[in-house]
Amino acid sequence: MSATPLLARLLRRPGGRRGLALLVVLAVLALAGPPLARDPLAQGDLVSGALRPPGGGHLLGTDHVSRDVLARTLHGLRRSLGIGLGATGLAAGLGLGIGLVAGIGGAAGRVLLRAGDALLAIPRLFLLLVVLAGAGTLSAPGLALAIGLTAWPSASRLAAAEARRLWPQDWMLAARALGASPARLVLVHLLPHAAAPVLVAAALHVADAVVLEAGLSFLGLGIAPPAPTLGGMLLEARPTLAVAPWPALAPGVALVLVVLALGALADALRAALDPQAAA
Amino acid sequence: MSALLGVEALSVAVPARDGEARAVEDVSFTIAPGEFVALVGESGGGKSLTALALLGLLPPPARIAAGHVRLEGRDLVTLESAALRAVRGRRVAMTFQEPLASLTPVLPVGAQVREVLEAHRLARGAEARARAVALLDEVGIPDPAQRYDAFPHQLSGGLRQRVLLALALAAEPALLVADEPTTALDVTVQAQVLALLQRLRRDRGLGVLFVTHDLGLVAEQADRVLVMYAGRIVEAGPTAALFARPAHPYTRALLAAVPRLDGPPAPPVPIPGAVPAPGAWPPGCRFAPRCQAAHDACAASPPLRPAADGHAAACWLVPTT
Repeated sequence: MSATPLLARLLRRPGGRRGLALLVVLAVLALAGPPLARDPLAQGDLVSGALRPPGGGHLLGTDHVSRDVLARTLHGLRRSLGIGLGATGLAAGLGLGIGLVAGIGGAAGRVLLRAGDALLAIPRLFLLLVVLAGAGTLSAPGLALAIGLTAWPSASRLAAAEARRLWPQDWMLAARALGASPARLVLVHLLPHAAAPVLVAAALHVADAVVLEAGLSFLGLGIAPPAPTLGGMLLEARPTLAVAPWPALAPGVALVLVVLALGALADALRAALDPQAAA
Repeated sequence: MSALLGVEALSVAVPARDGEARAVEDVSFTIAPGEFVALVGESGGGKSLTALALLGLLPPPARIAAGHVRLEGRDLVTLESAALRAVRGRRVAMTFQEPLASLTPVLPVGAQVREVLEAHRLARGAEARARAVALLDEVGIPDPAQRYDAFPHQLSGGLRQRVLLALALAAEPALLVADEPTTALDVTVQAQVLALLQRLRRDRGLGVLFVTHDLGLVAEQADRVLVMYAGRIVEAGPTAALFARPAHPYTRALLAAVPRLDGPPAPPVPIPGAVPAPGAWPPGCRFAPRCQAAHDACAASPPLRPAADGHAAACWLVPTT
């Protein structure tokens, strides 16, 4: 059919429906969960209350210092999703802007694109380690900023490649022949194309950023404890994994669900953004 | 009557092996309001470059080397880019050969028409939508309100060409430059699009520069014909006179190459050879190497001189009046 909104086209695909439904559930949990849950920092009796299995007053049990795992998972999910989305939004926005300008022949864009290439040559985790080692532990927005600033080069390369491919197309010339300004050419005739691959890459990158944040927290370089993040919880649960797996299970499952949901969404998005494929 | 478009001694330079070559040289013509002028010739003769030069759309490094393009009195060659943008679409619009490639594939066609209206600040919001639907209707698209939301790839070639015309007419230009608008269409659709062009010209007083290699179309449609060969206009004149008594050997050769259905059956006669590339043009008359009537005088370049019946032709054999 014709210009149905993206959301409707997304919902027409089973993968899109599943991914979106899962993401909505996760988002609701992340947004509505924390106010309803217990205090994630409150500790019970350290001797009798620690590492209690699920059940009783603690639906998902307690961790090694007798904090409620459910509360910590919900809070951690909120923080991790926030970091993932924030970092990805920043990376996609920067990447699109720089990539488009570079792709249509802007000198400033080309310089930034090369700088991005140089940045890509350095392993990302290493780069972040250096940044975080310098900065010490960060707040959630700070961590999102750090991840986002190391992620834009791949988005900008995608956008630049699309812009370079599309700029010489006939419809660009046709639009110019009817008086379109450079800004209009980019925003109306280029952006919808270039945004498609970047959007798909972004959906995957949210999952990437959440995992990266988990990894950094796991290494003790992300969010400072005792604030819960999914990765931080996994780190704390490691020593007792053999005797009490539940403090690791809940954040682990949450992480897997986030990655699965965004993966399915990215897949469906790629199909839905192609007008030729719209059935 | 003052001319709508006055092209004066226009030359277009393109890069060649040794520096630059004039792919279009010393081209002059005028178009009056509501006049339908055809620019014909073989591929590689400079027709499309001429058309692009009119709108200042030459692909770099091609450039206008000399001459003037006066549209409603203003010289577009010297206009700065913002002013030129305001003229494009608004005073002169251009359509291209391949309608599918000329439409942005990810935007519904109605939004593309609307885009032109908004780019020229003629309408916005609901009013822009209504005007876009009216334009789709005017160019003969059935169910315009539904087709508004269709993507280009969902329309037939004929409908796409109509959408292109709707885009071109959206900002009510006085002149339409149509580069091979019917080449990609089959014959019945061609006829429909041409009928549409004629109607628009009547209803809107639209001047049309019709770039084509199809002389058959020209014979039925155009008021005047410009025949272009190797970057120069070699013959110009009113359509009927030009077809009845072609003066230039190239025009005669072109006409002989068209299969005819009236009169005794005769096989079309191809013109031997091909248009040489810019930079490889012979001195003197550029058609001489392919011309059966070539003689010594052709070593010098013949000027475009007035001939009989209001013709002008660039050939030493044509008697001047």
